Amino acid sequence: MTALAERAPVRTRDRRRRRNDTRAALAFLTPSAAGLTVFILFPSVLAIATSLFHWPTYGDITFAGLDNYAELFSARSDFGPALLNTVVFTLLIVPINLVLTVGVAFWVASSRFRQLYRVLFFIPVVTPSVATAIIWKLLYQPDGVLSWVAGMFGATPPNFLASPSSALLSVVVVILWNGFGYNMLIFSAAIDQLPEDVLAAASLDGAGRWRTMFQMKLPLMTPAIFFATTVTLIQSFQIFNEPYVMTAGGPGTSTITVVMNVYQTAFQSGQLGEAAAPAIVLFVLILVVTLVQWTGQKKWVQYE
Amino acid sequence: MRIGRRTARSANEVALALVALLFLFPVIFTITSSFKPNNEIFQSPPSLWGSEFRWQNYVEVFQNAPFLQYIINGIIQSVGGTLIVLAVSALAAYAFGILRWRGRDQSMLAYLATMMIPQEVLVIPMFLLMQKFGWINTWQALILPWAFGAFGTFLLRQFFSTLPYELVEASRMDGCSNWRTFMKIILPLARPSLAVLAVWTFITYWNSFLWPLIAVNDIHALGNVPLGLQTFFGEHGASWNLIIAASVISIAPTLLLLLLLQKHLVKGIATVGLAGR
Amino acid sequence: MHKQDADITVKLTQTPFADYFTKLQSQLAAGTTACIVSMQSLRLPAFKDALEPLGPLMKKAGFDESQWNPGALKALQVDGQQYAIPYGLSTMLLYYNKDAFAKAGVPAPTNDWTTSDFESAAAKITAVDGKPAFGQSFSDLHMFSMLFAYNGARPVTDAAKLDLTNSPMEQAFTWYSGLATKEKVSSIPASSSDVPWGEQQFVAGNVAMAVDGDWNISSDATQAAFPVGVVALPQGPNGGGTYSANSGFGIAKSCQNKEAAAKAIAIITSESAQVEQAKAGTHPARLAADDAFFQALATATDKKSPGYAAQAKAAMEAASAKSVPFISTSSWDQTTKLIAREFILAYSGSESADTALQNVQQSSK
Repeated sequence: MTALAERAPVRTRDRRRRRNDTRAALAFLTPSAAGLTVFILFPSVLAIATSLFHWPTYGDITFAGLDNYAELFSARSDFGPALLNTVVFTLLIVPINLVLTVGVAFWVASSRFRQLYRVLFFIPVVTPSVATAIIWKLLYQPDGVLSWVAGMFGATPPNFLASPSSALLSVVVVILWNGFGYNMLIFSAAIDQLPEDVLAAASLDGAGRWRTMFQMKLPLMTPAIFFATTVTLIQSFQIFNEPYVMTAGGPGTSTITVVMNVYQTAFQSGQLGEAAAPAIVLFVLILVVTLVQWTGQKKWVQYE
Repeated sequence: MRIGRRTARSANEVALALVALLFLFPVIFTITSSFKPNNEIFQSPPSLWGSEFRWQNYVEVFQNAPFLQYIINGIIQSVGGTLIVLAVSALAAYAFGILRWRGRDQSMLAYLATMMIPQEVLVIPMFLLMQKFGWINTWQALILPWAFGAFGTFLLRQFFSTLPYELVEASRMDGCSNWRTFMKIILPLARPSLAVLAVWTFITYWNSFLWPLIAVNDIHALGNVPLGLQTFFGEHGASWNLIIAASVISIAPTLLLLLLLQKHLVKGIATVGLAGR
Repeated sequence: MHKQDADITVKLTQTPFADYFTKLQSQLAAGTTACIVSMQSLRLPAFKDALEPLGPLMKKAGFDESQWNPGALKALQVDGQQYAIPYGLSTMLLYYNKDAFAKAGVPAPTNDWTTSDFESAAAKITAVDGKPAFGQSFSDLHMFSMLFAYNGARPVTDAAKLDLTNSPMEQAFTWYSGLATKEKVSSIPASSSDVPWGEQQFVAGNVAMAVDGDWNISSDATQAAFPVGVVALPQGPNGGGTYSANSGFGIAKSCQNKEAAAKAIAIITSESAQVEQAKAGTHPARLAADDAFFQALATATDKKSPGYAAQAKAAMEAASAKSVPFISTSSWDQTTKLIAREFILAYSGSESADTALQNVQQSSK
């Protein structure tokens, strides 16, 4: 077949197909786009609008301008400590989670029972976080298992969830435990896909284990690491269930988070407008962090 | 040398087993605690087993609260949500991953951007919207609002776009419509990635807490398991032995799903490209 | 559940208690609430605007005040108006572990116990057991009733305004948190979300004494693995007595058919219903059901704690004689959450009692 003879008909066919495809795409997209508009885009706009009003669940709605945002920084607002805690939670959880899950994923891959371990480490992920919080509350009891273990090693255990110095860290441990299997599974899949031949060649070249790890394997896994980082980051900014059930935000304000602040202002104090403001601030924060990450990815993520 | 390597291997296996055991200790302790009488839950010093083996706790979970109803409610929500998410996402992913049209990549990017809107931002307007629709305390309020996120579309598109276009072309040559191509060719090929999305979605619905807390008024009729767990914290003290037994029960359905689909899970994650290659 | 009588069908909807009043608020706003709502005396100030005054309605439904315990009715009134018909009568009491007292050689508490009797008994038992004798709490009734008994301190003014920084309150709360920080005779909640604590630790056998409502008078004694005793709260020199708190049924203003709702309430609080409830272990608000309650209590507890029912009757009478309904504010839900978060700092000694009170007072809107 000669290219010349083919070219013209291909182009018209291509155009016709494109037109067909456009029509089909429209049809295939309709349910998703309609749902997205009604349940995500419209509420997002409404959220911004709500934040500009005094909007009690029970009573009259009045325009507030930026009052609700200004109120966030007043002395009696929980927003300041909530934002700080949320950032601290994120800064602790993301790096610890990633280092541990990558490490254990490799460790598990070296085992004969890798499939079993992947399931075992995944169990906390399928456990409802309310149940997780209940389980750990039991372990953290004064005179509970963890105090007892600490006592065996001669340490005086803190009252884990009651003391401001240990409450946040105790919650961090639970969140790490709960989310561990998720990233580990993603890294396990990535490890399974490492190209055997390349690695074998490297080992023939006399590259040591650590060198292979850091110069070959990890760089090949950067797309997975990038994905896991993004997801873990977004999740960490939205922590609510664990501290809500385990500590109710206490002691003092040491474990309240932005989402808890949103929930309590909206549904316990009944101020929807005042609650929408911190929600919008949280959104902007997540947006900025994610954008920074996306622009930064070119520097370290190796796509083929 | 050989023996040395073999011992090292065994030592490695033993160490890993110990770490896994330690990791799962909270679950193990919960299971053994779920058989203790109420007054032994907080006994100090703690013991792994109670003074008696109280099966009764599990019976009482179902007697003292409509826990079976919560499980059924949870399954209805999770299955309903999962089916809708799979259908809607697969359709959209076909448009983004298979079909070729102008503005496709830009639209996909816009879709991705919506993923960054946290659920919590939407909770308040969603509550107002549900009030307007008269949907507070209905199944649709529990299922629909979170069924249209872009995550599923993104995940499936990743897989669909790895399929060779010739496949679709060939199917069309045979006179198949897009609909038939989608149903007969693409969906069967996409099984592992659909499995991943199904597990993710099911778990998310099953474990959801914040939204049901807001949208459900009649917990008996619509409450899911996490909400049901909260009911054990009664007005006058909490029956901890029942809370713990109920927690164990709450893990069972998703654990079962995990065991059933475990083989697909790792493979599926690999094929949708989340693992990076 | 459907309870049927004549043409009225009552459909029961349930919400976890922790979120009940939060939900009720949004339901009232949306106009989706049920006709008959369960109301707690503590929360009444926050909800009275959404509830129908019951006087004329209940009269029509055959309500006769003289058949009821006056204290039970009074706890559900605001400005002399009845907003809910009680299904029980609740006062706060001190429960104790008879074995722990015997082991420490401390004479058992009485209904005339003073605060200093309580403190010295707690100190002795703590010394013998090696673990705290009293279980503390930050649940409103359990905690504030002890403060009220100590020196009459009240957290809310008669005008239903939060007033945590008055000086009797500061003294009483310094004393109460000092039980944990200074005297070290008291076990403190494990976290701010452990709202029931003292009574739970008591039933588990970890503490020898705890405050609890008489709604648990039967279950506390049957669930514990040791013989249980119960008395009125120990009083300080200026002690105010004890608090009563009640739950009852009210009618939402948004209800379409208020007369039918009133009839339904009359049925579910009828004498026969109250007798049934008394047998199941809830102290009834109707005088005629009292005997059934104490008989049932004796049957349930006599084997493990002989004489418990008689002691309970004496304790409840002593407590009722000096009980005052607990008044709360219109934003009580929010305040109790702040209390849980702040007071734990005072109990663990990381913050002074005064600071904790001030913080809650200032943050409450």
